[in-house]
Amino acid sequence: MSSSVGETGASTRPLRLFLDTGVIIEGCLGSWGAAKAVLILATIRTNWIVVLAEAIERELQAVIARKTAALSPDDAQAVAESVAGWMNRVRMERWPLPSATDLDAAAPTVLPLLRHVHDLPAVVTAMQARPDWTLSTNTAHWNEALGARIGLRIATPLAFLQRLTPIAG
Amino acid sequence: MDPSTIQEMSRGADERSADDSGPGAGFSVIDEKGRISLPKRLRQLLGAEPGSSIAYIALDHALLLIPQDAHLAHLQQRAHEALARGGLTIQALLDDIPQARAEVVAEAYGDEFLRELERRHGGASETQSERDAET
Repeated sequence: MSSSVGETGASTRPLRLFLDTGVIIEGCLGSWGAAKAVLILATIRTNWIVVLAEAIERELQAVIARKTAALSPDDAQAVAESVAGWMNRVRMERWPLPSATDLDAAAPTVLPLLRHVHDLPAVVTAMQARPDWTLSTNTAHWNEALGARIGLRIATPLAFLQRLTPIAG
Repeated sequence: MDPSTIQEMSRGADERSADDSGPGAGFSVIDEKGRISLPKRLRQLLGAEPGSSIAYIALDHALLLIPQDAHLAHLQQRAHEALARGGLTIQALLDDIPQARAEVVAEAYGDEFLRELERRHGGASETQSERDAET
């Protein structure tokens, strides 16, 4: 599959996907669905680059640590290994936390659109990284209104797959 | 349809895929057990061998087939089973994201800086207490 199907003409440049925490959790740990399909696609390293914000990675690790604390050590390890195994297979582009100055500069434009100030670092990182797609299952946070304001193409994993294969959309 | 006709059509898919559509285009015929065969050229393109795992997802009236790393599929299945044994749902993990995010961001930037951002720039639309109530 060309990485550029339906979006960027004949270019074979890898597409850069900024993934929200929920997509990674659903894709790595859920049964089956569009998020898992996206994560499997992303393992094709010649076609895809995963843009991972430090804010996302930290909260992902925090959620897993908190929620698996009650599991047996073996089961907690199985959960952690699933996420680590996927991360090891993808072509990763890591972005550090934005500086306080970066947040301050973006806040007048972005903060009124967000549900909470804690969402700001991930959004500012996405603005800095300028991925081809920002994928999230949380449409209350990452939605088209936000995308239009900050110039990002935001979609759910299912909507992204439908856009990827225009005949199905 | 006569099985020999099906086999003939499936064989023909290899030949038909060698046109301008490239090696990834062609068709296959569903047999009486619901199976389809992938032409050799397509299997080579996908790196699919006997026993390989192919994930699929239906997109309205189209089907997306994705070759899946067998080891990764195994890791994901183990994780899924581990969560189930512990009575943890995916939704429980997703519901914990706002709290984890609040802790991570507060640790990185400090509560005072975040409060000041909200004060100077009008703040976000949801208060912490509303967020806590939601989660």
